[in-house]
Amino acid sequence: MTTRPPLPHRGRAWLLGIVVPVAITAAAWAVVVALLPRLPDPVAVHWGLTGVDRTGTVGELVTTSAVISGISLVVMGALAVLTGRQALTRRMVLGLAVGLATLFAGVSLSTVLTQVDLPTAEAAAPPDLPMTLALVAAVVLGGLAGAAAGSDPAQPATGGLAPGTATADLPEGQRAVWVRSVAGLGPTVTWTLAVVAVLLGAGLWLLTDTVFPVVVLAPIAVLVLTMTTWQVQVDARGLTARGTLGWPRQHVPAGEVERADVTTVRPFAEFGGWGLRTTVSGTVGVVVRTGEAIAVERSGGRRFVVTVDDAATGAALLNTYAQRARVTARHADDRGVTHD
Amino acid sequence: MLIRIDPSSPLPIFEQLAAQVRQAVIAGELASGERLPSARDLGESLEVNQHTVLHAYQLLRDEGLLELRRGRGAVVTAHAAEHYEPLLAALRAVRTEAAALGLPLSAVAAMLTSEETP
Repeated sequence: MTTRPPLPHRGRAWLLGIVVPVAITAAAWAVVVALLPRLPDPVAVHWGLTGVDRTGTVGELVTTSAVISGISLVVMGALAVLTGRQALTRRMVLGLAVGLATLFAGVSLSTVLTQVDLPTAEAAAPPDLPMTLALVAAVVLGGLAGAAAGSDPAQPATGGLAPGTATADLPEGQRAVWVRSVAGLGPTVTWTLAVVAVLLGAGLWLLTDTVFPVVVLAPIAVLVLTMTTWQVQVDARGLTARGTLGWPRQHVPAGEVERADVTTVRPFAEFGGWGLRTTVSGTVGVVVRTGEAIAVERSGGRRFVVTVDDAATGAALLNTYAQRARVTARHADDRGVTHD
Repeated sequence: MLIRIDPSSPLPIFEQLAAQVRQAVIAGELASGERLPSARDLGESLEVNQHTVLHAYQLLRDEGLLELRRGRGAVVTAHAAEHYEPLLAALRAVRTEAAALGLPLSAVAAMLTSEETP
């Protein structure tokens, strides 16, 4: 294996992966500790459908959330510092680091705030509202952290295409585009799932008299459904994969392609699931079904995989444009023009 | 679907585009109901004016091959490929006859495009 260049945006990784989550957790726990003397004894530790259904010691109330917070800080901090070669991985890890820290801090705070200055634990209302606020705050702050994680710096590929790389038969002067849709689930299955999800959400809402599960599940359902169908396109600008609504979008510039090949993907074994995935080794994958796929070796030791039919045609055209992008870049160098 | 254009060809670019989309439908590469890239997207990809792409799409709409809908872009018409079945059958017959006569297909093409052929 060749040595890989250092990971980009390490300052932001330390800040958003460790400093901010630790600060959020510390602030929340400072408030929790300050409020502990004002709690009833025993305290409510669990709420059921009809209110408080279990009481216990203060230790019982705070230990679990403290342990979960701590584990989350360590795991996400380690992932933030050790991974993040590609923008998607960085955004997901740093977004999750801040989001989870906010969520767990919010949950700890909620269970304490709802019973401050109460005479008995049984009088404590279920902490639905503060929990919902904590969830919203977690999503918003996590999203902001993901947005601030930084896109990949431009890294033009150097050197020629590897010998034996298949290219398209496209004479100089001609232009081409390759477009192909790939669906993990057919439209019938997709709509059936959507209807079942709506009924399930409505049923939960009516049965439990709380919107909480619906608030959590609805965005996840929408996100999952947008990830089942993708359009893959190769043109002079490079390879682009877009979700159903044009988002999420993954783009590999032609100038950053080392080589593109046809491969066979088993999503569950290689990526642990379907959809837009990342692996610990730093591969980003749009994998919606088992089988034929384009695998792109990118500059900077990055790798991108997309499952799509007729992958050979797409890969060959991408190689052709990768070659043309280098020729253009070299001409710019010859004229003394800097390109960015 | 692979679409290539050759700016040095005497054939106008919108005709080059239309011919290749048509071919993709006939070959079954584009299925009924499949959505084509928007005229703007395809124009940007091929570095041609989006009105050129729209021109090609309109040509194919008039043939009944595509449906153009505001906001939804171009969609392949249901059973679009079947519309071409009689023409394809006729073409196969033409090829057989031409081979029997020893006539090159370029000569047949000239007869097809010539106004005088009965």
